Amino acid sequence: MFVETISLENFRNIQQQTLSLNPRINIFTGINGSGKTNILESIATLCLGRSQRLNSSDSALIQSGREFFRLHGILQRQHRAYELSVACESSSTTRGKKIVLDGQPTRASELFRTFSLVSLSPEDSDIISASPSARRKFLDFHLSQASVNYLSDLSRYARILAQRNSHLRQYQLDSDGTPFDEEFITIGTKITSFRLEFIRYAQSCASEYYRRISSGEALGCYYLPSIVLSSADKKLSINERESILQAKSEPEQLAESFRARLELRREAERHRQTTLVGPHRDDIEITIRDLPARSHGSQGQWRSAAVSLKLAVYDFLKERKEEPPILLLDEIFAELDITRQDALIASFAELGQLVVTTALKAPGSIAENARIFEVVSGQAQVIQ
Amino acid sequence: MFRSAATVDRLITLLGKLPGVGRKSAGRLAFHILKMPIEEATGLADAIREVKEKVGECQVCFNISESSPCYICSDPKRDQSVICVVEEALDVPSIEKVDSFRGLFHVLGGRLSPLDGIGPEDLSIKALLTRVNENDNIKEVIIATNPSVEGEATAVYLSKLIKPMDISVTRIARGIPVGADLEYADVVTLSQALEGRREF
Ligand SMILES: [Zn+2]
Repeated sequence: MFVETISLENFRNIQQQTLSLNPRINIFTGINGSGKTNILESIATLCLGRSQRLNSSDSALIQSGREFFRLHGILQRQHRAYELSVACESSSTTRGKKIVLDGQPTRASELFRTFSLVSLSPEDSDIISASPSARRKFLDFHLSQASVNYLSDLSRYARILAQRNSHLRQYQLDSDGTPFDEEFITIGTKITSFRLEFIRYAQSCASEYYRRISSGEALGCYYLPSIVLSSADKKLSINERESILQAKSEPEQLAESFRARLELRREAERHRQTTLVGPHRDDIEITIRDLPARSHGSQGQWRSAAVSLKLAVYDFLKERKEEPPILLLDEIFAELDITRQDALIASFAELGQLVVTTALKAPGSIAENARIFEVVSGQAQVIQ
Repeated sequence: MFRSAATVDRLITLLGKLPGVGRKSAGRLAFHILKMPIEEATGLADAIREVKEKVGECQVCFNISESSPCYICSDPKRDQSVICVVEEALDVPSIEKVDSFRGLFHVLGGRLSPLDGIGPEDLSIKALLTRVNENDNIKEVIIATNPSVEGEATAVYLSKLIKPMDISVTRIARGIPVGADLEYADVVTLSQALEGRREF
């Protein structure tokens, strides 16, 4: 799939702009602050109805002093053109965003079902260094693209969790649990199962990328599902932990484990009046040379590890959706050693659409066949 | 701008309080009523007054009714062994349309939702339990709450209370799309959902 054209109106620092993109490689050059990254963000927002920067709100995308933003474009996927527009108004009376796909108003979940996109940026090292919630957001944003059931399970889970927490605040928790527990266990187990499936995939895939990026260092990627592992279990060695997980990998075993963990934590939940077990408390542990990357890694290692995870997600999505996602690379050449990344990145350009920003000169192997734009104060012009 | 009379303003304000009616459509409705023949307009006003004066709740099943017990509860030809539990009185006509169902009803008056401050004591659950307990004819309770998070929790809650009474508790199948209300489900879907009900 690829973006053929995109028109931007009042989006970040870009007032009005129409771009027609190359189905393969596109490079946006320009100094920092020129608006290159905003163009990448507009592509993600058009494809998925939301920014790939997971902490960004919809209204933050509106150019300051304006009332709305609007994106409109044509996407090509499997020999079919999709006409798409995404708009958001700042005024509170017309709530939220409007997404229109081929003339029909639709929801972001429909875009997640249809398109897929992975972005790499220097901000990604947060996935390794920040709190567990950053890693859960990373999982949820990408796994929702891989499975629309996962996305609907997440939203149902959020509702169940809110009701369950409200129940815990209002009533004394009895030995039966809450009326929400049956579905809480069913949906929570489905979310955990799919996360487990992805981490299994990423374990070999991400470490292979990391080995290539870092000339031979070993990257480890381990899932810490709250419905299986207690806080005591998390202090065990990686091997011991993995063998516990191995023994509980079937959905029925996971559900049974979830039920048992809830029972174990009943007293604590009664006391603290909040839900202490469930996928909303999951984490992933990343290790470099068998040491936890969060506490032991350098910033360079974090960035390389984040790139490896993102590329693993790219491969996972490519397999699930049977076509390569759109790949956005934001200032990635300034961060990584070009000579080493050059060949790697070029290999992706052969698969799907690649959109790159760089303040430097783009590496030769990808610049050769690319459409190159120069961006000055929010205006992009084709220079090659 | 056009300034309307105070009485028209009052009508617009009152119509605007109805669900799904904004200020604009309230204005349109008010001017439509103004143009109506007098008999039609007073007919509407009378209907509103009468519905408030005459229609109450059946003290057995809590369905809306002009009499208590209601026509369903007092009909000897109905199957007295099955009670279908629904959230709102609005759900009763949908299930009545399904030919295969000729049992009794019980209207809860809502669903469990701690976020909205609605607990078991706010619903007609105690009355349901008494009804099931005191009536030996009842063999099955079909729980037809909506497939929402809250409807599912209400179903689980009820099944845990009724099952120990040695009565079969079933849940209508998930034929109804998630997020859709019973009110909007078509007859075929509902009929399939009732056919495919499963034991709790
Ligand atoms: Zn009745």
